[in-house]
Parts: sequence; C-alpha cells; structure tokens
Amino acid sequence: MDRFINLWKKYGMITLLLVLVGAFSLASPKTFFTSKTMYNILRQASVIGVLSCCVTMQLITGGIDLSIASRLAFTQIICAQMLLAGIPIPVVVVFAIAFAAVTGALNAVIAELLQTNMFVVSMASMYIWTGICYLTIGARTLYGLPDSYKVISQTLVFGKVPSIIFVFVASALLAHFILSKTRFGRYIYALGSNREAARLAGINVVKSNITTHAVASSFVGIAAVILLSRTMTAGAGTASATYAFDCITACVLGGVALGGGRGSMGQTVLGVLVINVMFNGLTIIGVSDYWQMVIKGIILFIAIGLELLQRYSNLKASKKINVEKVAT
Amino acid sequence: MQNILEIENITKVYPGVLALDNVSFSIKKGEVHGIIGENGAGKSTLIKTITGAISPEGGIIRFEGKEYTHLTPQLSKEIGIGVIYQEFNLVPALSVAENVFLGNYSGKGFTVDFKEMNEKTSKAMERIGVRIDPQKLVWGLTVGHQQIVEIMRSLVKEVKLIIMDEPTAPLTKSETEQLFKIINSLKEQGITIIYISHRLEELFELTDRVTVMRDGQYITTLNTSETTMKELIKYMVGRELSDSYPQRQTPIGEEVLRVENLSGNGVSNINFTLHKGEILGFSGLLGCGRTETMQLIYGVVKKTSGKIFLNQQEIEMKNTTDALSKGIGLIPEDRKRNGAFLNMTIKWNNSIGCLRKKLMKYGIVVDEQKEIDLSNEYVEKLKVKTPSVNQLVTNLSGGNQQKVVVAKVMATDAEIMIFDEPTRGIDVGAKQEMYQLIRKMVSEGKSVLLISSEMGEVIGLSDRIVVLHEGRQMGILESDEFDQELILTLASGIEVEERGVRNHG
Repeated sequence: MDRFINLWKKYGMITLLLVLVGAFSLASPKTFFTSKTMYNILRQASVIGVLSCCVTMQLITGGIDLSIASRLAFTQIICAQMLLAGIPIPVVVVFAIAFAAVTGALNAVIAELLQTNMFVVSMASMYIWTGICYLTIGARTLYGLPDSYKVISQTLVFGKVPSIIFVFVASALLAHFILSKTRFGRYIYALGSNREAARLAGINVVKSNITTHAVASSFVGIAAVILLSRTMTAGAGTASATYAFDCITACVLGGVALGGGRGSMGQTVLGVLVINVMFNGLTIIGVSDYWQMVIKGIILFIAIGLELLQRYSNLKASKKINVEKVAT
Repeated sequence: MQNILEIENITKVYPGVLALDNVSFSIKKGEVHGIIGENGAGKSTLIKTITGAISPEGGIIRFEGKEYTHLTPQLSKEIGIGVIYQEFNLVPALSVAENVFLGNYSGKGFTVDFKEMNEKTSKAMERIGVRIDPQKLVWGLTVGHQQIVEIMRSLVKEVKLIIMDEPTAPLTKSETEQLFKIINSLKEQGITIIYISHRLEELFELTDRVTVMRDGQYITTLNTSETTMKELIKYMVGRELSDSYPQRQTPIGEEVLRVENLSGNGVSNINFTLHKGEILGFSGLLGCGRTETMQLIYGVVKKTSGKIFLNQQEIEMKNTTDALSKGIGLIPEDRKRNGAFLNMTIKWNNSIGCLRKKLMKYGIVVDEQKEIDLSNEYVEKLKVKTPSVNQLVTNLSGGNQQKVVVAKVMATDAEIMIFDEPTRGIDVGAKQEMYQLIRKMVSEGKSVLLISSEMGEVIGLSDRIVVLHEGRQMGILESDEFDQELILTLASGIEVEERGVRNHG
C-alpha cells in the first residue's frame, strides 16, 4: 500500500493523463486524437490554468479564495470598457493585472484585520464583486472591442498554435519560479505549513500573507486579459462561473494540500490537463453534461481520499522512526 | 474514619519513563486530601488512573471496598468519582441546566423536561449555597461560574469523590474564595475531595492531609495541621542532583542585555541583566510568566511598560522580525506547534530564518547550493541523525527535531539565544547533547536565557537564576546560592529575606 502511494505521488498524474489520452483516442480516433482537438483542449485549459496559478499559491498559504470568478469578471468588464474608450492595449493589460492584485490584497487585508480565514472573507467579497459587475453593466454584454485586441489570445504561432497557450505556459513557469526559487516563495510555504512557527522565525506573516494574495491575484488579471481576448465579449455572467471550484479541483487532484504547506505548480498543471482532457474526451464520446458533473464530484472525492492516504503513510513512516513518547 | 479510596502498588510505564512507580496510599472518607509535587512528579498520571482515562500496568484501585485492576471513564463515573479539570468541557451555546444534565436529560421519549431539569439544577445549587440562573447560557458566565457548572455536573450524579486538578489556576481572587466555600460545604455533606495545586498556601487553608509525590513515586502523607511549608518543600525536592552537566570553560563578559521594570503580557516589573557568555536561568512553576517574559523580549507580544537595553542602547521590539535582526533568537517551548515546520525538509527549516541574510543571489532567488552547504554544516555540527538534509522533519526523532529547530535559530547568527524548555520530550542522550551544545554556544561568546521546568537542568547549566511566581520576580540567585529548596520556596511565592536574595541586576 505504501509503495502504491509513493508511486502515485511520483507518477500517478502523468500516467493518468497518458491513459486518458490513450483511452479517448481509441474510443474516438478520428475526432479526439487530432492536432485540432489537442490545441482546442489546451486553449480551453489556458484560462483555468492561469487562474490555477493563483489558486495554487493561495492553497499553499492555507487559504481558499471563492472570489476569483467575480473579480475576474469585473476586471474583464473594466478592461472592455477601457478598450471601447480607446485606451491603448498595453495600458489596459497593465491595469488589469494591477487591479486584480489590489482586489486580492484587499481580501487578505480584511482577513488579517478581522483575524478570520480567507474562506468567509472571499465569500463576502464574491457577493460584493458579483453585485458590482451587474451594477456596472446590468445584463448587457459588452462587444465590439477593437479587432487588434485579438492578438493576445488568438494569434496563431507557427501557423497553428494559439497564443493563449503560450500565456498559460509562461504564467505557469513564472508561478513555478516564484514558488520554488524565491525567498518570497519560501514564505508562502512557511505561512501554510505553520503560521506561528513562521512568525517566531522572524517572518512578518501579515505582510507576507497580503503580498502573497496580491501576487497570486495578478494571475487573475492575466486570466481576465486572455479570456477577454479569446471571447472578445465581456458580461457579468462570468462572475457566477464555477472557476474557483474548477481550479481547486484541478489543484487538489494534482496533489496540492487543502490544508496548506504542500503542493507545486507542476502538480497543478497536471491536474488542469487531466481535468480538461477528461471532460473534452467525455464530451466527444457523447457523455452528457450532467453525468460529467457527477464524475467531477467523484473525482474530487478520489483526490481527497488519495491525499488522506498520503498523509496516513507519512504518519506511519514518522511513527516508525519516532519511538519516544512524552509522558506527563 | 474508613478509607473511601485505596491505591495499592499502582505502576504506569510510558516508553522510556516510569510515570508511576509502585504508588500506594489511601484517601479517607470525607476528607479534603491535597496532592503536591513538582512538574512531572506523576500527579496527573495518578489522577488519570483514578478517573479511568488510562490503565495502569499493575496494582489495585480499591473504591469503597471494591477492588479494580483498572477503571474506565464510564465506570469511574458510575461508582461516584467526579473530576474537575483545568480545561472545562462545557457546551457554551447551551444553558446551565442543559450542561449540567448533558448526556442524561430528563423527560420521556423524545421530549425533554426542561422544567424538571431547571428545578433539579437549582436545588443542587442550593446544596452548595450558590445561585446561578439555570436557564442562562454558559457563554455568558464568568470562569468561576463555569467551574461551578462543572461541579454541579458531578453533584447531580450522586458523586462520592471529586478530584480537582489545579482548580484555582484560572480563577480570580474572589472566585477562589467562593470555590473554597463550596469545597467546605461539599465536605460537610460527606463528599471526599482530592485537591491538586501548586499553591502551597491553598493546601494549608483547605486540606486535612497532604500527599507528596516526586519522580513518579509516593513520598509521604502528612497531616496538614502538623506540617509546614518548609517541610513540604523539602519532601518535594528531596533528591540529589546526579546528572552531570558540562562545566564552564570561558569567563563571562560585559553586559549585552538589560531589562528594567519590564511589564505586560501577564508579568510585571521584571529586572535582570544578561552578560556575554552567560547562561541566565529562569525558574518557576507553571504559569509563573517565564515564557511570557521571553515573548516580550522577543517581540511576540508588545510590552506595556519598562525598558529593554541591548548593548547599553535602549531598544523597542516591534515584532519578531525586528528581534531577529537585532540578534535575538528564540527556540520556542512547543517544538511541534511553534518550532518546526514538520512537513518540510531539514534544509528548508534550516534556512527559513536566514534567507535574506545569507542565502540570496540576484536579490530574490534562493541560492540552493549555499543552502545545502549551510544545512550540511549544521547537521554535522549538531550531529543530527538523518540520511540527508532532504529528509522531512516529521520523520526525525524528538531530539533530532529539536536540533533542527536550534539549527534554524543558530543559522540566523543570533548573539542572544532564548531556550524555552529545550529538552522537553527528548531522551536522556539527546538531553546531554543539548547541554553540551548550549555550553559550547556560550563558550563561543553567545549569551543564553534558559527556561526549564527541570530543576536539575536550571541549576546545572545556569550561571545565575531568576525565580518567578505568578508574573512577579521573586529574586535572582547567584551560583553559590543555588539550592533546590530555596528555588522552590521562592517559586511558591514565599518571600525569603534572610538569605539576602537580590532582586536586581
């Protein structure tokens, strides 16, 4: 059993990904295993992928943020209005990233001030931003953006690869670099692993937490930019999309711990790919949306179960070495 | 008077520790019986045996003439044993009466007879002369009243013996007085009470007899009216210090840290000076404010008044980041909760405190080669037993985990190291290594503030000892004044004038 857990930890997700691709290719060789479908899957995975960079960082600090879809939607709406007003694209992009970062930081500031967890704070903030989206443009959809804006997501590199995929890859690499190579990344893990120990180790935990949420949320800004460029329309409906849950599913499936302190960008990317391949494949072989929801739920259960088994095997390993007990 | 409870040859073994060693004694029916002993004397284990929370390896418990080899929590309740722990087990959102009857509500079928419960509760309260509205919710009660609810819980179950474990620890003075009144009225009604407390004066006020325990052994039982505090302390200490402690190699230097009238966080008017190369010990009973004093110095909690001088310069400690940058490091009391990042690797733990100072390249990137070198250096220096620095800390033994925590602080190059219970929960060999390590640090010119509940450790390692009692400083002992009895006397809050104990410098 322990060996299975160890093997799963190392190769489980990549094997699952290959098995899924293989299975769907066999089931539907003419439609699934084509370069067009593959690029399509990656293109669809991109927005979730970029958002997952944010969610990974947040989960590692031990916080769940439910407000990302609503903040994504509002960022998108502002960007669309700015573009319609003729503001140059680079300005809009920089603004989107900065704006999203500020809204993310705001969540963390409130959580620190009220000394409560991100879950409730982000829930409140989700309602507020969703409301603001509808207050701003009502049920209207903004369209008619300048055609030049398409360039961000819809340029075909080498004549066939949509540029949105490159944004995803670049974001994942950047998030990976921050998490695994920088001092700041270390502090993110420290916060989630043991906040009190982090404080006693001389880390300014409040400042680090706020900064983390600001940096993480800048990926929400990037996601808003590429989503807008892909669809070329913006509406308040995006706010109620299930982005937060899809991202958390992908991260947890990949192996990022919900309790904080454990996980990596590599795991998240694999989680995102597995989820996207699976649901595209299921659609192609004709499984209904409702069944897909059921399957998504079951997968989440399995992912949490595997996480539990991992923790259990860690515990057993530590018990073997740790023979002494404290008597009081 | 006959005995209600007799304990015969009770032995409890934890891996590596003999927590109770052939303990035998008896409690008379209707008496208030005190139990005292230092931290780790075996009082709590003894209580847990009587309440059935743990099973002893050997011996007999005889309650009202009936013999048991061990009890379970249910059984001990059924035969009439109640216990009041320091931590209450109340449901804050329920009323007083509901808490009193929690688990056995009155009523038929699915209905609950609240009226009957409220009346019964009121009646039971009358028995001990208190009045609390039975319908009041528990979260609105003071700590003292919450404790009374706990007592009521035992009372409505026809209890014969109530065990109270440090019941006055969370209480204010007037609440304590009320508790004493309640204890006396319980006694009048023939209920037997076992009373455990660090506070010697309480034992003299309340108890008929006192049993002294030490290192898991029964020492003696005395009639309270025939003994003195001095005698009790003598029995509590009673042992010669046999452990060998490494001796000082280098002389003590100039002043590095001075604290004047430091107050806040539950302590007041703390005064001491720490010199270069010195180990200043802190002694006192649980809750005396040792850890709290260190939290003020390390910037975990802000002081309300007083001054801290570092190298003769007055400083304000804003937070822990500040303390660390000023060269003060803390090895916290609870290694697993506050010290180590258990699910991280040794090298990760080692570097987390000194990343900015030592391990950066290009400003933001961690230099991983340097990190590995640094960690290997400390693993070697502190003799951490591990296959590699990539091992998760959770997989190490307690002693090695503690070394990782110490290495983390050492790596920050702190000049003043605060050790809070550095050897708690680690085995004898690892303890010796920790003593050597602390000695070595001071011989390299560092200065140490050392908190320990183990008397031997404080006396064996310290150059001077500060004794605290309930947030007050009782005195500072020079090494020629070190004496277990004297320390315990001061720690119990008894002023000692004639010995010329100094309280400054």
